[in-house]
Amino acid sequence: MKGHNFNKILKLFDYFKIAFQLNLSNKQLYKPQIAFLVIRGLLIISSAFALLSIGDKMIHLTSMDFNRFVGLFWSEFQGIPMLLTLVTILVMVLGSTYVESGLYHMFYRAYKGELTAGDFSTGAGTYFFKFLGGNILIILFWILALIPYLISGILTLTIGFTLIPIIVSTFLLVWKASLVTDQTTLGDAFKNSYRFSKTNFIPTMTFVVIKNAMTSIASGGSGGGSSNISQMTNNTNTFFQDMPSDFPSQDLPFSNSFFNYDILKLFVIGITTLITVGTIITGLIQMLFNIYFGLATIVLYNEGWVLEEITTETLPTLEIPIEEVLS
Amino acid sequence: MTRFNNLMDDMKEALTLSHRYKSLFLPALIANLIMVVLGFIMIFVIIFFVMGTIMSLTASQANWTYLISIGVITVLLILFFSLIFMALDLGINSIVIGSVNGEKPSAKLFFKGIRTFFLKVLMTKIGLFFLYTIGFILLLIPYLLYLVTVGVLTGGYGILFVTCLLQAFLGSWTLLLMENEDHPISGFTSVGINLKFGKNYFWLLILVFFIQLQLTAYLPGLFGLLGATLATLFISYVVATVFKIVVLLTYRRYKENLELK
Repeated sequence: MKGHNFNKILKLFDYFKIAFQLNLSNKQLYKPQIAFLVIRGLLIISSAFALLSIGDKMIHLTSMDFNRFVGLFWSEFQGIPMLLTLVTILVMVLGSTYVESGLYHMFYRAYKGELTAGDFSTGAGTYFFKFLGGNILIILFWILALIPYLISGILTLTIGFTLIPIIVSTFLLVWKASLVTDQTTLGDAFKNSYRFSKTNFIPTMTFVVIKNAMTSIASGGSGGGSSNISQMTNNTNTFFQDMPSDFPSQDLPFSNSFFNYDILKLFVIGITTLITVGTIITGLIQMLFNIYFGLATIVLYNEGWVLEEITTETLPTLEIPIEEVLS
Repeated sequence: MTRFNNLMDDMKEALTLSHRYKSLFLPALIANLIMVVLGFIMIFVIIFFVMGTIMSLTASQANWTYLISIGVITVLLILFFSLIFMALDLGINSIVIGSVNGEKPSAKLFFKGIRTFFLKVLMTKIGLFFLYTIGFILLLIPYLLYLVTVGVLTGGYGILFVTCLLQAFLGSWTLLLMENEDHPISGFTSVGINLKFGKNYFWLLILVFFIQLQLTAYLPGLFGLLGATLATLFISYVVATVFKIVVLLTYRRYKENLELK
Protein backbone atom coordinates (compact mmCIF):
# COMPACT_ATOMS: atom_id res chain seq x y z
CA MET A 1 0.00 0.00 0.00
CA LYS A 2 2.78 2.36 0.93
CA GLY A 3 4.68 1.66 -2.25
CA HIS A 4 1.47 2.21 -4.13
CA ASN A 5 1.13 5.69 -2.66
CA PHE A 6 4.76 6.40 -3.43
CA ASN A 7 4.24 5.56 -7.08
CA LYS A 8 1.27 7.86 -7.16
CA ILE A 9 3.40 10.63 -5.68
CA LEU A 10 6.00 10.03 -8.39
CA LYS A 11 3.23 10.27 -10.95
CA LEU A 12 2.52 13.79 -9.68
CA PHE A 13 5.68 14.97 -11.38
CA ASP A 14 4.32 13.78 -14.72
CA TYR A 15 1.22 15.86 -14.12
CA PHE A 16 3.48 18.81 -13.36
CA LYS A 17 5.12 18.30 -16.74
CA ILE A 18 1.76 18.34 -18.51
CA ALA A 19 0.68 21.44 -16.60
CA PHE A 20 3.92 23.20 -17.51
CA GLN A 21 3.45 22.37 -21.17
CA LEU A 22 -0.14 23.64 -21.06
CA ASN A 23 1.06 26.76 -19.31
CA LEU A 24 3.61 27.48 -22.01
CA SER A 25 1.34 26.85 -24.95
CA ASN A 26 -1.65 28.83 -23.65
CA LYS A 27 -0.37 32.32 -22.91
CA GLN A 28 -3.87 33.78 -23.06
CA LEU A 29 -4.55 32.19 -19.68
CA TYR A 30 -2.75 35.16 -18.15
CA LYS A 31 -4.97 37.81 -19.69
CA PRO A 32 -7.92 37.71 -17.28
CA GLN A 33 -5.85 38.00 -14.14
CA ILE A 34 -3.66 40.75 -15.55
CA ALA A 35 -6.76 42.71 -16.51
CA PHE A 36 -8.23 42.08 -13.07
CA LEU A 37 -5.05 43.27 -11.34
CA VAL A 38 -4.97 46.47 -13.39
CA ILE A 39 -8.64 47.19 -12.69
CA ARG A 40 -8.09 46.55 -9.01
CA GLY A 41 -5.07 48.83 -8.91
CA LEU A 42 -6.91 51.64 -10.69
CA LEU A 43 -9.88 51.28 -8.34
CA ILE A 44 -7.71 51.40 -5.23
CA ILE A 45 -5.91 54.49 -6.46
CA SER A 46 -9.04 56.31 -7.55
CA SER A 47 -10.96 55.61 -4.37
CA ALA A 48 -7.93 56.68 -2.36
CA PHE A 49 -7.89 59.95 -4.26
CA ALA A 50 -11.61 60.42 -3.75
CA LEU A 51 -11.18 59.95 -0.02
CA LEU A 52 -8.22 62.31 -0.04
CA SER A 53 -10.27 64.99 -1.71
CA ILE A 54 -12.72 64.67 1.18
CA GLY A 55 -9.80 65.04 3.52
CA ASP A 56 -8.90 68.23 1.70
CA LYS A 57 -12.18 69.79 2.61
CA MET A 58 -12.26 68.47 6.14
CA ILE A 59 -8.85 69.81 6.99
CA HIS A 60 -10.48 73.13 7.73
CA LEU A 61 -12.17 71.67 10.76
CA THR A 62 -10.27 73.12 13.65
CA SER A 63 -11.81 71.35 16.62
CA MET A 64 -12.50 67.68 16.99
CA ASP A 65 -16.27 67.62 17.18
CA PHE A 66 -17.36 64.09 16.39
CA ASN A 67 -20.85 64.93 15.14
CA ARG A 68 -19.63 67.68 12.88
CA PHE A 69 -16.86 65.40 11.68
CA VAL A 70 -19.24 62.60 10.76
CA GLY A 71 -21.76 64.99 9.25
CA LEU A 72 -19.23 66.70 7.06
CA PHE A 73 -17.68 63.39 6.05
CA TRP A 74 -21.06 61.99 5.11
CA SER A 75 -22.11 65.01 3.07
CA GLU A 76 -18.86 64.87 1.15
CA PHE A 77 -18.90 61.11 0.87
CA GLN A 78 -22.22 60.94 -0.93
CA GLY A 79 -21.96 60.84 -4.68
CA ILE A 80 -18.93 59.75 -6.63
CA PRO A 81 -16.68 58.80 -3.69
CA MET A 82 -19.34 56.50 -2.29
CA LEU A 83 -19.94 54.90 -5.65
CA LEU A 84 -16.24 54.37 -6.14
CA THR A 85 -15.77 52.84 -2.71
CA LEU A 86 -18.73 50.54 -3.19
CA VAL A 87 -17.51 49.41 -6.58
CA THR A 88 -14.04 48.82 -5.15
CA ILE A 89 -15.38 46.71 -2.29
CA LEU A 90 -17.65 44.79 -4.66
CA VAL A 91 -14.78 44.09 -7.02
CA MET A 92 -12.59 43.02 -4.10
CA VAL A 93 -15.18 40.60 -2.77
CA LEU A 94 -16.63 39.16 -5.95
CA GLY A 95 -14.02 39.87 -8.58
CA SER A 96 -11.61 37.11 -7.67
CA THR A 97 -14.38 34.51 -7.70
CA TYR A 98 -15.56 35.84 -11.06
CA VAL A 99 -12.10 35.66 -12.56
CA GLU A 100 -11.53 32.25 -11.03
CA SER A 101 -14.72 30.76 -12.43
CA GLY A 102 -13.81 31.95 -15.91
CA LEU A 103 -10.25 30.78 -15.52
CA TYR A 104 -11.12 27.27 -14.42
CA HIS A 105 -13.24 26.85 -17.53
CA MET A 106 -10.28 28.11 -19.56
CA PHE A 107 -8.00 25.63 -17.80
CA TYR A 108 -10.28 22.77 -18.70
CA ARG A 109 -10.57 23.89 -22.31
CA ALA A 110 -6.80 24.29 -22.48
CA TYR A 111 -6.38 20.79 -21.09
CA LYS A 112 -8.69 19.50 -23.80
CA GLY A 113 -6.76 21.55 -26.35
CA GLU A 114 -9.83 23.52 -27.35
CA LEU A 115 -9.15 26.91 -25.82
CA THR A 116 -10.81 29.73 -27.75
CA ALA A 117 -11.18 33.46 -27.21
CA GLY A 118 -14.69 33.48 -25.73
CA ASP A 119 -14.03 30.81 -23.15
CA PHE A 120 -13.45 33.19 -20.28
CA SER A 121 -16.84 34.87 -20.48
CA THR A 122 -18.59 31.55 -21.16
CA GLY A 123 -16.97 30.02 -18.09
CA ALA A 124 -17.61 33.02 -15.88
CA GLY A 125 -21.23 33.11 -17.03
CA THR A 126 -21.78 29.42 -16.39
CA TYR A 127 -19.86 28.84 -13.20
CA PHE A 128 -19.75 32.16 -11.36
CA PHE A 129 -22.70 31.49 -9.05
CA LYS A 130 -21.62 27.91 -8.42
CA PHE A 131 -18.11 29.04 -7.48
CA LEU A 132 -19.53 31.81 -5.32
CA GLY A 133 -21.90 29.41 -3.60
CA GLY A 134 -19.12 26.92 -3.01
CA ASN A 135 -16.82 29.56 -1.57
CA ILE A 136 -19.57 30.83 0.73
CA LEU A 137 -20.28 27.27 1.86
CA ILE A 138 -16.61 26.75 2.68
CA ILE A 139 -16.46 30.00 4.63
CA LEU A 140 -19.63 28.97 6.50
CA PHE A 141 -18.06 25.59 7.21
CA TRP A 142 -15.02 27.28 8.70
CA ILE A 143 -17.16 29.59 10.82
CA LEU A 144 -19.05 26.58 12.18
CA ALA A 145 -15.87 24.57 12.62
CA LEU A 146 -13.98 27.37 14.32
CA ILE A 147 -14.52 26.28 17.94
CA PRO A 148 -13.79 22.53 17.39
CA TYR A 149 -10.82 23.61 15.27
CA LEU A 150 -9.39 25.77 18.04
CA ILE A 151 -9.95 23.08 20.67
CA SER A 152 -8.40 20.29 18.62
CA GLY A 153 -5.56 22.58 17.65
CA ILE A 154 -4.70 23.21 21.26
CA LEU A 155 -5.17 19.55 22.25
CA THR A 156 -2.74 18.39 19.58
CA LEU A 157 -0.07 20.87 20.72
CA THR A 158 -0.76 23.27 17.81
CA ILE A 159 -0.11 20.58 15.21
CA GLY A 160 -3.83 20.64 14.43
CA PHE A 161 -3.73 24.32 13.60
CA THR A 162 -1.73 23.66 10.46
CA LEU A 163 -2.69 20.08 9.74
CA ILE A 164 -6.48 20.45 9.85
CA PRO A 165 -6.63 23.18 7.17
CA ILE A 166 -4.41 21.03 4.98
CA ILE A 167 -6.60 17.97 5.42
CA VAL A 168 -9.71 20.04 4.72
CA SER A 169 -8.21 21.59 1.62
CA THR A 170 -7.10 18.12 0.51
CA PHE A 171 -10.72 17.02 0.51
CA LEU A 172 -11.76 20.26 -1.16
CA LEU A 173 -8.97 20.33 -3.70
CA VAL A 174 -10.79 19.30 -6.84
CA TRP A 175 -14.37 20.56 -6.46
CA LYS A 176 -13.75 23.41 -8.86
CA ALA A 177 -12.08 21.05 -11.30
CA SER A 178 -15.00 18.67 -10.94
CA LEU A 179 -17.48 21.49 -11.60
CA VAL A 180 -15.88 22.45 -14.89
CA THR A 181 -15.03 18.89 -15.93
CA ASP A 182 -18.22 17.02 -15.10
CA GLN A 183 -20.59 19.99 -15.40
CA THR A 184 -22.41 18.77 -12.31
CA THR A 185 -24.23 20.48 -9.51
CA LEU A 186 -22.38 21.95 -6.58
CA GLY A 187 -23.29 19.09 -4.27
CA ASP A 188 -22.02 16.47 -6.69
CA ALA A 189 -18.83 18.44 -7.19
CA PHE A 190 -18.14 18.38 -3.45
CA LYS A 191 -18.95 14.67 -3.37
CA ASN A 192 -16.62 13.97 -6.28
CA SER A 193 -13.91 15.99 -4.61
CA TYR A 194 -14.34 14.03 -1.37
CA ARG A 195 -14.27 10.67 -3.18
CA PHE A 196 -11.27 11.61 -5.24
CA SER A 197 -9.24 12.67 -2.22
CA LYS A 198 -10.38 9.70 -0.17
CA THR A 199 -9.12 7.16 -2.68
CA ASN A 200 -5.84 9.05 -3.20
CA PHE A 201 -5.42 10.67 0.17
CA ILE A 202 -1.64 10.67 0.64
CA PRO A 203 -0.76 11.71 -2.94
CA THR A 204 -3.44 14.41 -2.99
CA MET A 205 -2.20 15.74 0.32
CA THR A 206 1.33 15.77 -1.06
CA PHE A 207 0.06 17.85 -3.94
CA VAL A 208 -1.67 20.25 -1.54
CA VAL A 209 1.49 20.59 0.56
CA ILE A 210 3.61 21.29 -2.51
CA LYS A 211 1.04 23.78 -3.78
CA ASN A 212 0.81 25.56 -0.44
CA ALA A 213 4.57 25.66 -0.04
CA MET A 214 5.04 27.17 -3.49
CA THR A 215 2.24 29.71 -3.21
CA SER A 216 2.91 30.77 0.37
CA ILE A 217 4.11 34.34 0.46
CA ALA A 218 7.84 34.53 -0.05
CA SER A 219 9.63 34.88 3.22
CA GLY A 220 13.20 35.35 2.13
CA GLY A 221 13.97 31.73 2.75
CA SER A 222 13.58 31.73 6.49
CA GLY A 223 10.57 31.43 8.70
CA GLY A 224 7.38 31.02 6.82
CA GLY A 225 3.76 31.80 6.41
CA SER A 226 2.49 28.49 7.64
CA SER A 227 -1.17 29.03 7.07
CA ASN A 228 -3.08 31.67 5.25
CA ILE A 229 -6.72 32.16 4.50
CA SER A 230 -6.43 31.11 0.89
CA GLN A 231 -5.56 27.60 1.93
CA MET A 232 -8.79 27.41 3.91
CA THR A 233 -11.10 28.55 1.19
CA ASN A 234 -8.87 27.10 -1.50
CA ASN A 235 -9.30 30.27 -3.45
CA THR A 236 -7.00 31.66 -6.10
CA ASN A 237 -7.26 35.14 -4.77
CA THR A 238 -8.89 35.63 -1.44
CA PHE A 239 -10.36 39.00 -0.97
CA PHE A 240 -8.93 39.31 2.52
CA GLN A 241 -5.46 39.57 1.07
CA ASP A 242 -6.56 42.12 -1.45
CA MET A 243 -7.98 44.64 0.95
CA PRO A 244 -5.93 47.79 0.71
CA SER A 245 -4.16 47.90 4.02
CA ASP A 246 -4.02 51.65 4.22
CA PHE A 247 -7.09 53.66 3.65
CA PRO A 248 -6.08 57.26 3.81
CA SER A 249 -9.29 58.04 5.64
CA GLN A 250 -7.41 57.16 8.80
CA ASP A 251 -5.15 60.13 8.35
CA LEU A 252 -7.89 62.68 8.77
CA PRO A 253 -7.80 66.19 10.09
CA PHE A 254 -6.63 66.04 13.68
CA SER A 255 -3.02 66.28 12.67
CA ASN A 256 -3.19 69.72 11.12
CA SER A 257 -1.61 71.48 14.06
CA PHE A 258 1.38 69.14 14.09
CA PHE A 259 2.12 68.46 10.45
CA ASN A 260 2.12 70.33 7.27
CA TYR A 261 -0.97 68.93 5.60
CA ASP A 262 0.46 69.06 2.11
CA ILE A 263 3.43 66.95 3.09
CA LEU A 264 1.12 64.49 4.80
CA LYS A 265 -1.01 64.32 1.68
CA LEU A 266 1.98 63.75 -0.53
CA PHE A 267 3.11 61.02 1.81
CA VAL A 268 -0.28 59.32 1.72
CA ILE A 269 -0.40 59.53 -2.07
CA GLY A 270 3.10 58.09 -2.26
CA ILE A 271 2.35 55.24 0.09
CA THR A 272 -0.91 54.41 -1.67
CA THR A 273 0.79 54.33 -5.05
CA LEU A 274 3.66 52.26 -3.67
CA ILE A 275 1.32 49.74 -2.10
CA THR A 276 -0.79 49.55 -5.22
CA VAL A 277 2.23 48.97 -7.42
CA GLY A 278 3.49 46.43 -4.88
CA THR A 279 0.15 44.66 -4.85
CA ILE A 280 0.16 44.49 -8.62
CA ILE A 281 3.70 43.14 -8.86
CA THR A 282 3.17 40.59 -6.06
CA GLY A 283 -0.14 39.70 -7.66
CA LEU A 284 1.59 39.07 -10.97
CA ILE A 285 4.12 36.75 -9.34
CA GLN A 286 1.41 34.93 -7.42
CA MET A 287 -0.60 34.69 -10.61
CA LEU A 288 2.08 32.54 -12.21
CA PHE A 289 1.78 30.01 -9.39
CA ASN A 290 -1.98 30.18 -9.16
CA ILE A 291 -2.42 29.51 -12.86
CA TYR A 292 0.18 26.78 -12.83
CA PHE A 293 -1.36 24.95 -9.90
CA GLY A 294 -4.88 25.53 -11.20
CA LEU A 295 -3.86 23.80 -14.41
CA ALA A 296 -2.14 21.08 -12.42
CA THR A 297 -5.33 20.53 -10.42
CA ILE A 298 -7.34 20.10 -13.62
CA VAL A 299 -4.74 17.68 -14.96
CA LEU A 300 -4.73 15.84 -11.64
CA TYR A 301 -8.50 15.46 -11.59
CA ASN A 302 -8.72 14.36 -15.19
CA GLU A 303 -5.79 11.95 -15.19
CA GLY A 304 -6.67 10.77 -11.72
CA TRP A 305 -3.88 8.23 -11.24
CA VAL A 306 -5.63 5.62 -13.37
CA LEU A 307 -2.33 4.50 -14.77
CA GLU A 308 -0.43 1.32 -15.20
CA GLU A 309 1.22 -0.12 -12.14
CA ILE A 310 4.93 0.36 -11.80
CA THR A 311 6.93 -1.30 -9.09
CA THR A 312 9.04 0.65 -6.67
CA GLU A 313 12.12 -1.16 -7.76
CA THR A 314 12.11 0.10 -11.34
CA LEU A 315 13.74 3.48 -11.26
CA PRO A 316 12.30 5.99 -13.67
CA THR A 317 14.86 6.18 -16.40
CA LEU A 318 16.56 9.44 -17.07
CA GLU A 319 15.36 9.64 -20.65
CA ILE A 320 11.61 9.62 -20.72
CA PRO A 321 10.70 10.66 -24.27
CA ILE A 322 9.04 14.03 -24.33
CA GLU A 323 6.54 12.97 -26.96
CA GLU A 324 4.95 10.83 -24.31
CA VAL A 325 4.30 13.90 -22.22
CA LEU A 326 3.22 16.13 -25.03
CA SER A 327 0.59 13.80 -26.37
CA MET B 1 10.59 22.92 -21.78
CA THR B 2 12.82 19.88 -22.12
CA ARG B 3 14.80 21.16 -19.17
CA PHE B 4 11.68 21.36 -17.04
CA ASN B 5 10.71 17.80 -17.98
CA ASN B 6 14.22 16.63 -17.21
CA LEU B 7 14.08 18.40 -13.86
CA MET B 8 10.81 16.65 -13.01
CA ASP B 9 12.43 13.31 -13.94
CA ASP B 10 15.41 14.14 -11.74
CA MET B 11 13.10 14.96 -8.86
CA LYS B 12 11.34 11.64 -9.34
CA GLU B 13 14.62 9.84 -9.27
CA ALA B 14 15.76 11.82 -6.21
CA LEU B 15 12.56 10.84 -4.40
CA THR B 16 12.96 7.21 -5.44
CA LEU B 17 16.53 7.17 -4.18
CA SER B 18 15.61 8.76 -0.86
CA HIS B 19 12.74 6.30 -0.55
CA ARG B 20 15.14 3.42 -1.11
CA TYR B 21 18.05 4.64 1.05
CA LYS B 22 16.41 6.07 4.13
CA SER B 23 19.76 6.20 5.90
CA LEU B 24 20.57 9.19 3.70
CA PHE B 25 18.74 11.21 6.30
CA LEU B 26 20.65 9.99 9.34
CA PRO B 27 23.09 12.95 9.13
CA ALA B 28 20.07 15.28 9.17
CA LEU B 29 19.07 13.76 12.49
CA ILE B 30 22.61 14.14 13.79
CA ALA B 31 22.65 17.77 12.68
CA ASN B 32 19.45 18.41 14.56
CA LEU B 33 20.81 16.76 17.72
CA ILE B 34 24.01 18.80 17.49
CA MET B 35 21.91 21.93 17.12
CA VAL B 36 19.92 21.10 20.25
CA VAL B 37 23.17 20.56 22.18
CA LEU B 38 24.56 23.78 20.74
CA GLY B 39 21.39 25.57 21.80
CA PHE B 40 21.88 24.43 25.39
CA ILE B 41 25.54 25.44 25.38
CA MET B 42 24.68 28.85 23.99
CA ILE B 43 22.08 29.32 26.71
CA PHE B 44 24.76 28.68 29.33
CA VAL B 45 27.21 31.01 27.61
CA ILE B 46 24.60 33.75 27.50
CA ILE B 47 23.74 33.20 31.16
CA PHE B 48 27.42 33.49 32.12
CA PHE B 49 27.78 36.59 29.99
CA VAL B 50 24.76 38.27 31.54
CA MET B 51 25.92 37.31 35.03
CA GLY B 52 29.37 38.72 34.28
CA THR B 53 27.90 41.97 33.06
CA ILE B 54 25.67 42.29 36.10
CA MET B 55 28.57 41.56 38.46
CA SER B 56 30.73 44.11 36.67
CA LEU B 57 27.98 46.69 37.01
CA THR B 58 27.44 46.06 40.70
CA ALA B 59 31.16 46.13 41.38
CA SER B 60 31.23 49.40 39.44
CA GLN B 61 34.31 48.14 37.71
CA ALA B 62 34.20 45.85 34.68
CA ASN B 63 35.81 42.47 35.12
CA TRP B 64 37.39 42.53 31.68
CA THR B 65 39.22 39.21 31.90
CA TYR B 66 35.95 37.44 32.64
CA LEU B 67 34.02 39.13 29.83
CA ILE B 68 36.81 38.72 27.29
CA SER B 69 37.28 35.05 28.11
CA ILE B 70 33.58 34.46 27.59
CA GLY B 71 33.80 36.29 24.27
CA VAL B 72 36.75 34.13 23.24
CA ILE B 73 34.88 30.98 24.27
CA THR B 74 31.90 32.07 22.17
CA VAL B 75 34.05 32.68 19.11
CA LEU B 76 35.80 29.33 19.57
CA LEU B 77 32.47 27.56 19.95
CA ILE B 78 31.15 29.16 16.78
CA LEU B 79 34.30 28.15 14.88
CA PHE B 80 34.19 24.63 16.28
CA PHE B 81 30.58 24.08 15.41
CA SER B 82 30.88 25.59 11.97
CA LEU B 83 33.69 23.11 11.31
CA ILE B 84 31.45 20.29 12.52
CA PHE B 85 28.61 21.42 10.27
CA MET B 86 31.02 21.73 7.37
CA ALA B 87 32.21 18.18 7.95
CA LEU B 88 28.62 17.00 8.15
CA ASP B 89 27.90 18.69 4.84
CA LEU B 90 30.86 16.92 3.22
CA GLY B 91 29.70 13.60 4.63
CA ILE B 92 26.20 14.16 3.25
CA ASN B 93 27.68 15.04 -0.16
CA SER B 94 29.68 11.84 -0.05
CA ILE B 95 26.72 9.56 0.68
CA VAL B 96 24.56 11.47 -1.81
CA ILE B 97 27.08 10.84 -4.57
CA GLY B 98 27.40 7.24 -3.41
CA SER B 99 23.66 6.64 -3.48
CA VAL B 100 23.34 8.10 -6.97
CA ASN B 101 26.10 5.69 -8.00
CA GLY B 102 24.08 2.88 -6.48
CA GLU B 103 26.05 2.41 -3.27
CA LYS B 104 24.18 2.02 -0.03
CA PRO B 105 24.95 4.93 2.33
CA SER B 106 27.32 3.84 5.07
CA ALA B 107 29.38 5.37 7.84
CA LYS B 108 32.49 4.36 5.91
CA LEU B 109 31.42 6.36 2.86
CA PHE B 110 30.36 9.24 5.08
CA PHE B 111 33.74 9.55 6.82
CA LYS B 112 35.70 8.88 3.64
CA GLY B 113 34.17 12.00 2.14
CA ILE B 114 35.07 14.06 5.17
CA ARG B 115 38.65 12.73 5.32
CA THR B 116 39.40 13.23 1.65
CA PHE B 117 38.01 16.70 1.18
CA PHE B 118 38.09 18.43 4.55
CA LEU B 119 41.35 20.34 4.12
CA LYS B 120 40.76 21.27 0.50
CA VAL B 121 37.26 22.60 1.19
CA LEU B 122 38.43 24.41 4.30
CA MET B 123 41.21 26.17 2.39
CA THR B 124 38.84 27.14 -0.42
CA LYS B 125 36.31 28.38 2.11
CA ILE B 126 38.92 30.55 3.83
CA GLY B 127 39.85 31.96 0.43
CA LEU B 128 36.23 32.51 -0.43
CA PHE B 129 35.64 34.13 2.95
CA PHE B 130 37.91 37.04 2.02
CA LEU B 131 36.22 37.37 -1.36
CA TYR B 132 32.81 37.26 0.30
CA THR B 133 33.87 39.96 2.76
CA ILE B 134 35.05 42.23 -0.04
CA GLY B 135 31.89 41.50 -1.99
CA PHE B 136 29.76 42.16 1.06
CA ILE B 137 31.35 45.54 1.69
CA LEU B 138 31.07 46.51 -1.99
CA LEU B 139 27.51 45.29 -2.44
CA LEU B 140 26.05 46.29 0.92
CA ILE B 141 24.66 49.67 -0.14
CA PRO B 142 23.27 48.48 -3.50
CA TYR B 143 21.75 45.52 -1.69
CA LEU B 144 20.08 47.74 0.91
CA LEU B 145 18.71 49.93 -1.86
CA TYR B 146 17.47 46.81 -3.61
CA LEU B 147 15.82 45.64 -0.38
CA VAL B 148 13.81 48.81 0.13
CA THR B 149 12.78 49.13 -3.52
CA VAL B 150 12.41 45.77 -5.25
CA GLY B 151 12.19 43.82 -2.00
CA VAL B 152 9.25 45.85 -0.76
CA LEU B 153 7.51 46.15 -4.11
CA THR B 154 7.58 42.42 -4.78
CA GLY B 155 6.41 41.48 -1.30
CA GLY B 156 9.48 39.44 -0.40
CA TYR B 157 9.93 37.66 -3.70
CA GLY B 158 12.82 39.95 -4.61
CA ILE B 159 14.70 38.96 -1.47
CA LEU B 160 13.97 35.29 -2.09
CA PHE B 161 15.29 35.74 -5.61
CA VAL B 162 18.64 37.02 -4.33
CA THR B 163 18.94 33.99 -2.05
CA CYS B 164 18.19 31.70 -4.99
CA LEU B 165 20.74 33.59 -7.06
CA LEU B 166 23.49 33.07 -4.48
CA GLN B 167 22.57 29.40 -4.14
CA ALA B 168 22.52 28.89 -7.90
CA PHE B 169 25.96 30.39 -8.41
CA LEU B 170 27.77 29.41 -5.23
CA GLY B 171 25.63 26.83 -3.48
CA SER B 172 26.88 23.53 -4.80
CA TRP B 173 30.60 23.80 -5.50
CA THR B 174 31.53 21.37 -2.70
CA LEU B 175 29.19 18.81 -4.23
CA LEU B 176 30.71 19.37 -7.68
CA LEU B 177 34.22 19.18 -6.20
CA MET B 178 33.48 15.80 -4.67
CA GLU B 179 31.66 14.61 -7.77
CA ASN B 180 34.87 15.10 -9.79
CA GLU B 181 36.85 12.91 -7.43
CA ASP B 182 38.34 10.63 -10.08
CA HIS B 183 40.21 13.48 -11.78
CA PRO B 184 40.71 15.90 -8.92
CA ILE B 185 40.20 19.58 -9.48
CA SER B 186 41.12 22.45 -7.20
CA GLY B 187 38.54 24.11 -5.01
CA PHE B 188 38.45 27.28 -7.06
CA THR B 189 38.06 25.33 -10.29
CA SER B 190 34.99 23.80 -8.72
CA VAL B 191 33.69 27.25 -7.82
CA GLY B 192 34.27 28.18 -11.47
CA ILE B 193 32.27 25.17 -12.64
CA ASN B 194 29.51 26.12 -10.23
CA LEU B 195 29.47 29.69 -11.62
CA LYS B 196 29.27 28.32 -15.15
CA PHE B 197 26.54 25.91 -14.10
CA GLY B 198 24.57 28.81 -12.65
CA LYS B 199 25.12 30.94 -15.74
CA ASN B 200 24.23 28.32 -18.37
CA TYR B 201 21.30 26.80 -16.51
CA PHE B 202 20.16 29.96 -14.79
CA TRP B 203 16.36 29.59 -14.65
CA LEU B 204 16.56 25.87 -14.04
CA LEU B 205 18.74 26.31 -10.95
CA ILE B 206 16.75 29.31 -9.76
CA LEU B 207 13.66 27.09 -9.93
CA VAL B 208 15.40 24.24 -8.08
CA PHE B 209 16.52 26.47 -5.24
CA PHE B 210 13.22 28.33 -5.17
CA ILE B 211 11.40 25.04 -4.61
CA GLN B 212 13.96 24.03 -2.00
CA LEU B 213 13.72 27.32 -0.09
CA GLN B 214 9.94 27.45 -0.18
CA LEU B 215 9.70 23.86 1.07
CA THR B 216 12.27 24.55 3.79
CA ALA B 217 10.29 27.55 4.93
CA TYR B 218 6.92 25.85 4.76
CA LEU B 219 7.37 22.27 5.95
CA PRO B 220 8.51 22.87 9.58
CA GLY B 221 5.33 24.83 10.19
CA LEU B 222 3.26 21.74 9.40
CA PHE B 223 4.13 20.07 12.66
CA GLY B 224 3.02 22.77 15.03
CA LEU B 225 5.10 24.91 17.32
CA LEU B 226 6.95 21.96 18.80
CA GLY B 227 7.90 20.68 15.37
CA ALA B 228 8.93 24.13 14.27
CA THR B 229 11.26 24.59 17.24
CA LEU B 230 12.74 21.11 17.48
CA ALA B 231 12.71 19.71 13.98
CA THR B 232 13.35 22.71 11.72
CA LEU B 233 16.97 21.80 11.16
CA PHE B 234 16.13 18.15 10.54
CA ILE B 235 13.53 19.06 7.95
CA SER B 236 15.73 21.60 6.23
CA TYR B 237 18.57 19.06 6.07
CA VAL B 238 16.21 16.42 4.66
CA VAL B 239 15.01 18.84 1.99
CA ALA B 240 18.60 19.91 1.32
CA THR B 241 19.72 16.27 0.95
CA VAL B 242 16.98 15.50 -1.57
CA PHE B 243 17.83 18.63 -3.53
CA LYS B 244 21.53 17.77 -3.46
CA ILE B 245 20.55 14.63 -5.36
CA VAL B 246 18.51 16.74 -7.77
CA VAL B 247 21.41 19.15 -8.37
CA LEU B 248 23.80 16.24 -8.81
CA LEU B 249 21.54 14.50 -11.32
CA THR B 250 21.08 17.78 -13.21
CA TYR B 251 24.82 18.33 -13.23
CA ARG B 252 25.47 14.82 -14.57
CA ARG B 253 22.88 15.33 -17.25
CA TYR B 254 24.49 18.50 -18.56
CA LYS B 255 28.06 17.72 -17.59
CA GLU B 256 29.59 17.91 -21.05
CA ASN B 257 28.40 21.51 -21.48
CA LEU B 258 30.09 22.58 -18.27
CA GLU B 259 33.75 21.68 -18.88
CA LEU B 260 35.99 24.61 -18.04
CA LYS B 261 38.47 25.41 -20.78
